Amino acid sequence: MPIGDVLPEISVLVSAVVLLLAASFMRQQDHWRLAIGALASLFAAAVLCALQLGEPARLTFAGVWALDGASIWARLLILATTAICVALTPEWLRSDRRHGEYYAMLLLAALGAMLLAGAADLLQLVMAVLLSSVTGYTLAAYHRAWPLSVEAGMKYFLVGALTNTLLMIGVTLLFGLFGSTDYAQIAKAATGAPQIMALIGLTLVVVGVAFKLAAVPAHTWMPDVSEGAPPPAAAFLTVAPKIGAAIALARLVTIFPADVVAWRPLVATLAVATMTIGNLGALGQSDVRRLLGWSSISQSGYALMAVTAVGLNAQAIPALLFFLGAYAAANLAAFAAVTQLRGRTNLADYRGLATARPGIAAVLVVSFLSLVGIPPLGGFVGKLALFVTTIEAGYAWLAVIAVINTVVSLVYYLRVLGPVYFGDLDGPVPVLGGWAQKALYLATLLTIGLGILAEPLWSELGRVMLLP
Amino acid sequence: MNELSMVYGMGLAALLFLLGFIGVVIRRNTLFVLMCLEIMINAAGLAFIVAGARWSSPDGNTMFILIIAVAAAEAAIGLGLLLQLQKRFRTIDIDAASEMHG
Repeated sequence: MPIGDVLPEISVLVSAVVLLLAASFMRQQDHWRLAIGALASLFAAAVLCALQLGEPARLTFAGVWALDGASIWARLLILATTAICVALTPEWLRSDRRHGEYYAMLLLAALGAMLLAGAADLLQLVMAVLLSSVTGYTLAAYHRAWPLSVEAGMKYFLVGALTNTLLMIGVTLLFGLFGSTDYAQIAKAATGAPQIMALIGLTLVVVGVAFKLAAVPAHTWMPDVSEGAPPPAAAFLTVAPKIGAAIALARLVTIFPADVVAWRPLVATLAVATMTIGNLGALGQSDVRRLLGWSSISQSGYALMAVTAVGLNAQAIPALLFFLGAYAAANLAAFAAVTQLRGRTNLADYRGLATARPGIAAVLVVSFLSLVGIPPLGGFVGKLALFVTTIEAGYAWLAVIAVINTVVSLVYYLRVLGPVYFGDLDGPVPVLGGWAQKALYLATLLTIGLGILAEPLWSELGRVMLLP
Repeated sequence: MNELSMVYGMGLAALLFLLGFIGVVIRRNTLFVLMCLEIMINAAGLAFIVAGARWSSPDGNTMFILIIAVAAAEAAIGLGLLLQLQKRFRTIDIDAASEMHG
């Protein structure tokens, strides 16, 4: 177990602790400097992570930690997401007394998501889910003087605490059945297992991971968090844990032989329920942040399609990674626009935005169209890859439902864009400026770039493996 | 451990879990909800020990220690949120904090 296998994680952990200590000794006015420290440490971790790309895929630390293409790309994606979220923060929290601590908390939450992506042991999975959850509750309730933020944190916590307990019970059941928490060992033992108990255990674990993914049945926190949490934190919580959880789920379900434990119908059902409920919830929304929360739920449903196809189609994991990347860029751009607009959330306040702030209006168009999946943006390639993969895996009906959902989703995205371009402006539109603006344009460029550079990226992702 | 005592152990864990779950569902006082969540987590811990004993493996005990630590961290965050809830809404009734919906 060479310690070098977890160097990116160690560097994130150490810098989180250093930032926390620094925040306690620095003057509040200087806390924005810690954002530079956080960005530097994220960059260092990304370099360390990228160095692992050249190495052969393997399991390390006695089979607990998977070092394969899926985990490395997912962790790089999480680090990039966190960097954009860090850049969104300094102006937003300028007057907050606990400004500096925010970066430490953000890095620890990113660490939890990274651990999720590499988890190859049930115990590691529990630790990762919990680390990313407890930090997530704090991030959601960071504006503790603002009732909505506290409410979002409390709702997030209650759903989280309940599903985490179910996750632990599921892990107990699987451990009791198979005598090990190691994925490779479970895969060996699972062939002759009592099916119904294994399915119950797996279902409970899947519910626990679905909480991080904001998938049905543990999706209820997402709209509240994206409305009530500070927008930079909401940007993070709607993206980073999802990337880790999607890979963790794919890794988990594939250890069970599909003919013994029927997990494919389970995941397919969750996918349909998640994308449909997410879209129905978004349809009537008059609150943009809440709408983004519901749309984020429906995007999780699309991601679950790829998980259904894992093991049937070698392209499932590359498709999942590409989709997650495109989703991350587009969703971050959307939340960056909300942050840049100082968190304005009522749909009526978006009227005539294009006259006052044409740049931000254009960003909203790009990010929403990418979330729908319009060419040539990143979201189009991601969704196309997902649909093709799912159809080739023999789940054509799932792809059809996803296409119908995509068409429906166009309605509520256009409901926002309509007033932005054709409404009458009333009152000035103050913006945040500074770092937030740079993060906004970076996320937008990534959304467009992922679409244009799809081919070289796709051939790179095509070699990705998923262990065990 | 023989089969019989395992059934008892798992039965007790299931009972504790059910007790906690019912509490979470029907209680409106956040403090009691937190306590019920603790009971559920402890049920999971007990089940881990019983499952570890079945396989004569120390893994179960390891996980129990881990779960205790995790439960403590979660309870700390929960109580922190509870304090803020009391400050902002002047009550710890769960239904009071429902300004956002839809």
